Amino acid sequence: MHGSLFSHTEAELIKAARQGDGSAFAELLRPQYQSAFRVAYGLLHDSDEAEDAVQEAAFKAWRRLGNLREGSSLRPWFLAIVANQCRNVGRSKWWTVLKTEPPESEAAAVDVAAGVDLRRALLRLSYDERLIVVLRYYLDMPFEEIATTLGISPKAARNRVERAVHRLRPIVQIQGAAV
Amino acid sequence: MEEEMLFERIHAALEVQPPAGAYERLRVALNQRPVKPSMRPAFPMRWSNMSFRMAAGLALVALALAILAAIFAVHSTSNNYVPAGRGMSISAYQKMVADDDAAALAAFAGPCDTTTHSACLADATRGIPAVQKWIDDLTHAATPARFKVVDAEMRLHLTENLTALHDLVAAAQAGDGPAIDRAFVVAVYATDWTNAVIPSITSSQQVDAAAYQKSVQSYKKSLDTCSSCILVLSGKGNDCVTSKGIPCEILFGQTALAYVEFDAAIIRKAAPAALATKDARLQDDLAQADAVLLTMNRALAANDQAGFNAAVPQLQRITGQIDRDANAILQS
Repeated sequence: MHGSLFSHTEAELIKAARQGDGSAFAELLRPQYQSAFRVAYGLLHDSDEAEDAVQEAAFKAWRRLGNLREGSSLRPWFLAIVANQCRNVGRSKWWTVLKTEPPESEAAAVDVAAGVDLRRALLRLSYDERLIVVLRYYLDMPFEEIATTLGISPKAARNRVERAVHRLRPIVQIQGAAV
Repeated sequence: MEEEMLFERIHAALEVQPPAGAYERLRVALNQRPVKPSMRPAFPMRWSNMSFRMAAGLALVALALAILAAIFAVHSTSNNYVPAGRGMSISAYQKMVADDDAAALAAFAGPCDTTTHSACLADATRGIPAVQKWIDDLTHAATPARFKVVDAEMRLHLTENLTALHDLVAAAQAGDGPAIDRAFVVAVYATDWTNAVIPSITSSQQVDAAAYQKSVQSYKKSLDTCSSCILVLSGKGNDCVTSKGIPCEILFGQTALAYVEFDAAIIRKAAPAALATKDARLQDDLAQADAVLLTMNRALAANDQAGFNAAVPQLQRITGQIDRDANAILQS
């Protein structure tokens, strides 16, 4: 399949991708790429690892494309595969080393420290808590979409977000006290 | 906490664009490695008797090859050891540590947390022999000079981890929830330390003076601007063990990480010979800080506010030394 891919509907692209058309599958993922990368970066905190995780997830998703039910949306299905891929990458990384560039100025140093501390706080959440915080506050997902992505009810999604925020709250206090 | 504030802070902390050309690389990869998506049922083919026998034969051959490979791997690992006194090459030491780390990681299916004791118990049971073997390997190895200081630190953390894993198993078997939590705090700290430092050991390379100084400068700045460290060293976090205001789990974890990252950085980019003396001083002082942080973590696990507070002046003093060590390196 070459040329006018933009005129193809999602269903046509899925059909072509199921027949092994890589361009069609890449085109299907194009609108989801930014979100997928953000999920991966929010979970792994490393651009290179995030790009690799999205690429691996893309191949897994392609192999499992037959499992995508007709009429269901690609986005939550693909983001769930990305999240699972990141879970494997991040296995046992309870305390990932953050790579940070030296700040340019003293004022910037405070901002960088605050950002780094929040990222460190995120890394100390359990994987599931981090995922739900990323989906809610980084991808700005409504509870309904979080629920679809995680295969839970919207009410459970709301509860999980509240629990994760409860765990995250102290770090914001720390930042406020230190700067 | 206001929703709006969380949206803003998390966006500010994580805001990043995919690397240039990332989607394009994905598109190319998908085109270069086409896959045939599987449809349910996964394997709809029918097997003839002949093809079944051939497949079984191939499986037996593969199994035999795997056994031979395993025997070879065990044999070649045992050949990595050099009798004490003859010294061990840097690459052999790196390989030994990488292998032991991989074996320990494989034993842990985490992440687990204090709400999933059963998962942690399974991890601990699998982890004990792996950590014990790691300690034994370090004990029998003649450590290269570059890794002498970090090797001693690693043994401390692994021994701490081993004790904690035994405690965790015993507490879980006794159904003692608070003891499980205490052991968990110690075990996680030890594992976190190895996760942070081992990649630096296994990728350690000697660099020139400029690269080494740049690394020292970067991580010194990171330590200087670590807001949790500022709180701990100023004494503002000194009620965190008992207070519900600022849990020590986060305050202490971030403080310890800033020191460990510094430690890891100067191992990853090892000092040139011209700066070896000053580097040794910095390594020693970071190791001293590490020992104090271990004491603080034990106090944290035991809910011992007084023990935690007693260690703070020591950390202050050593941090001053680290600062002087780093400045001496930067002024060279």
